[in-house]
Amino acid sequence: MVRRFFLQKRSELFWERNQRAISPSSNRSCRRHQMLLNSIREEDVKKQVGDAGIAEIHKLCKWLYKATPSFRYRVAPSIITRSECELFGISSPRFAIRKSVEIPMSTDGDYTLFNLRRLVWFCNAIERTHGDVGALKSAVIKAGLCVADSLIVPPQRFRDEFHIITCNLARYYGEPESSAPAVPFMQHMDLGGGMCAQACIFMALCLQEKLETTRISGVAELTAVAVSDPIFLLKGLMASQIAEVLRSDTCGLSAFLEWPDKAVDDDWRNETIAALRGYVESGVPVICLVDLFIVSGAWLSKESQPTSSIWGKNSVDCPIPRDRLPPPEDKSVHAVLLVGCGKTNEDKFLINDPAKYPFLLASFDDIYAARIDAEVPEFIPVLPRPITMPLIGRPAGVRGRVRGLIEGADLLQTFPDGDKPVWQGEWPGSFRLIDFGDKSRDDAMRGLFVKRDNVGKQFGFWTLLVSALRRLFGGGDSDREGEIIWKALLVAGRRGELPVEGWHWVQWLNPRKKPRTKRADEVWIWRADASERVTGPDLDLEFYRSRVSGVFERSGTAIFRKEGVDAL
Amino acid sequence: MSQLYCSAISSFSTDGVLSPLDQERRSLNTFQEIDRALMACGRRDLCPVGIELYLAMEFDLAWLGRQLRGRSEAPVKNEDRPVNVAQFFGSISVAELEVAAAEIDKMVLENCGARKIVAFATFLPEIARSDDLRNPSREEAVAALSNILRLGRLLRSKYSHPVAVVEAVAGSRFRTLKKDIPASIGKRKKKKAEYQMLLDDEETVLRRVLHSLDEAIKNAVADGSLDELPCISVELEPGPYFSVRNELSLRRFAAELTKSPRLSAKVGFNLDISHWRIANVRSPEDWQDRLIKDRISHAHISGHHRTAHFGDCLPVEKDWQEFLPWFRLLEELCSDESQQARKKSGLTPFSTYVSVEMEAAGRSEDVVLMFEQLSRHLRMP
Repeated sequence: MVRRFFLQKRSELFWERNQRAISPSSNRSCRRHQMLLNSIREEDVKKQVGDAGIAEIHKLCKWLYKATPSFRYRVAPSIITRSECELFGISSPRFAIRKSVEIPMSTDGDYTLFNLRRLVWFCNAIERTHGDVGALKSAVIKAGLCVADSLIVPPQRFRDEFHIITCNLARYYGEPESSAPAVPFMQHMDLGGGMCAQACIFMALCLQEKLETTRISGVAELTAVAVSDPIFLLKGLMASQIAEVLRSDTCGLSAFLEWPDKAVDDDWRNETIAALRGYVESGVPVICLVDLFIVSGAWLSKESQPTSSIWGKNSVDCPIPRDRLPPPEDKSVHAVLLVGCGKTNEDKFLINDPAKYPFLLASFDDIYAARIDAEVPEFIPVLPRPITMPLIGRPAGVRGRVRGLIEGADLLQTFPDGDKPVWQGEWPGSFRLIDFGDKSRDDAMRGLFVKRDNVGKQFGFWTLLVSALRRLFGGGDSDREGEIIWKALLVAGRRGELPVEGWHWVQWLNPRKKPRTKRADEVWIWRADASERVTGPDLDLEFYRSRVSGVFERSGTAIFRKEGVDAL
Repeated sequence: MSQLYCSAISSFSTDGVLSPLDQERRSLNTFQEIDRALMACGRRDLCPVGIELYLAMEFDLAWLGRQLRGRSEAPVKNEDRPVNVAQFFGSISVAELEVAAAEIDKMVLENCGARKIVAFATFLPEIARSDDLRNPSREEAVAALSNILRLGRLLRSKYSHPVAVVEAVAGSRFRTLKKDIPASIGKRKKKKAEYQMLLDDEETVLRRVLHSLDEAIKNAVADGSLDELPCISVELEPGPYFSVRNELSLRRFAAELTKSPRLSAKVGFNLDISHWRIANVRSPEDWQDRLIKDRISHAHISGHHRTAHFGDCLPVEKDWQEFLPWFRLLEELCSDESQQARKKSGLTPFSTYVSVEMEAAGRSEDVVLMFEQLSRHLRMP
């Protein structure tokens, strides 16, 4: 009883505070009657979303924040529910039910937004228009995949340990401008076949919304743009279609279907991890193609599912009954989105799984184990439109060859070849995609070299002691050294040695990661948006190639441009 | 010179403005706050703001349905909500329209204060539907639009509400059909529905929409005069598969309108400034001709993301600056000369209103702030 009273009081305080946190311009207004509009009672929400959907969202909140947070429901617009109505030819329910969830322990009154599909209403409308949907209707309502476009503020435990790609879209959803950066998430609508790829594309577009060329569409447009035929079945997309949709004018981005060449590259695992980290740290989300049954552990016993599948390891159960599963040899091609990578734990990633939850922790080996292809996992990085040079690339085959930067860098940096440089430390180092024409160039560059935000500002006793110990044991203090290199690069920029425009991959080869390597740090700057056109009487060919814009070598606290390498 | 006024689309409240469901009088309070804020800004000339009544809000329809059929005073429940707007309005008889008009007049006065209904907002994408689809069918959507036009005429003639336009969407190219095919799931054979999508070609959808609009107007004038009938303002919806979606499709639509005097006199465009920006419609200063300009019969304003319609929000100062050429255009369209010239040419008049759209807003404060900011960017008379 007492607990209930306090919970209610806390909730009231939260919403009162929330009401005050409107836009800054409202402060000057004289005392005004403020009202929350469009609230909806929980019992009505249950009737419209369905019991399973409500149970699912409660479970998700508890799983995310390890508590039962305070929340409020209201009717609100949603780009996804509106688009799903268009797709199925119905005019309602266009609005979603928005569940705003207070972030426990947040001092700024941050909250997460879930736009919930009104599954019961939606299925009734479909039934009315398209006739009996019987078993399918009850399956959709029972599955409770009700989370449409949502903005989830990462829980503190993930913010501490992971670099997470976020966006600031709350304002456009009519929420206070001061809302915390969040990660977009949506569950797919399992009506008429998967559509997990469309969900991943939508999340990726939201994460890239700041780019000039990005255009964000709902699932209807994303589905239709993928097919060239005017008659098609509503279902998920194939890997190549995903990349094509992202490259189309409907999305306005660049994307490559890529996978490592396991046959010729012994170190493909480390290189792929470095590439995935490079993407995520550059704010580039990556769509991974996996087998849903392996990710969920659907075929595993109740005892082994929690230890042998991504869902299980994240304490998420698998509700798919075995009698609904296809034979074990069949694959269920599924798309998930990589949205975070470990700050210190190099091979740990966070994935948004549209079939289940956001922020599922997965190691590279987990993703590898869930691959579709027998040999290698497939990835689709969602890049800014001008980018022509991905990191991984793909070997020649049916889909055609795509050259990745790592392949070109390998030739220049690790192969002993006459006088050309040979790197002996840990390879391929770390990468960051930077627009050198952008004002935030320097900050973006700092992010490559300095992983912890406070380094350089605070050199307290403990920081110095840890740094000294690391150096003593041959490890070095990467962040402190990184800060030095970054500052030296800024000086080089003032000397006019850095590019002043265009997208570039900046690669940092850091010898401290492989102790006792007697090499100085190197920074390679590669053109990421270079393409060349060869024309002739019977030829008009556009091709992409890696091009070095500059190589810098560290000496003490300064860096110097190496001459001659950029001509390679 | 006539002035550009502003109005609020009632969809800021999903509880609707017709039913007594809103016991805390949120709609009334919000409208009063808007008037108060405008007066504080020195824009008494814009008060009281008009109301653009959104006719697709479920609670409103549920309430209206009760008044038409049962005249019950019991509170509206979720179960009372009609599933579809087209079927609701499509099935209303002419006699029932009289009751509906009286009820709307009474409830607007009660729930929104003494203010005038200047327009109707609707959502009937089914007017673009193929004739082989049912529940609702295209015919039902056409009947609904006719009845809404009649309702506007009744409110104009009997209750002095200057309902000038009925805003309408033009649907999309998607045609969804359910296909039952057997699918193997596990060892058992089960029937699993699959949805087959068909993308109608642009030309077909355009013809269908024009035909629907023409039919709706023709039906509505069967029992009344064309002059008294409100105009239809077609809304551009940004997205690659909507039938009216960008400048090119606006131009094609406008060119088709000129071919029919009835359509030309009664169908125009709703200039939703944010939608037009998302759809990359050029600024009016860059237009070489008057094809689109002469067809603008009403306007909406709200803040949006640059490329997507997540919801309606407050524009930032940069947005307001981008909107300025559109406001100047609307002010130009309000002028007596422009209205006279349109009348002479047999074109739709301009409603002289720009409606603020803050669909399903979270706080009344946002709606009020939107009006405050808008009033600063509109010229004084």
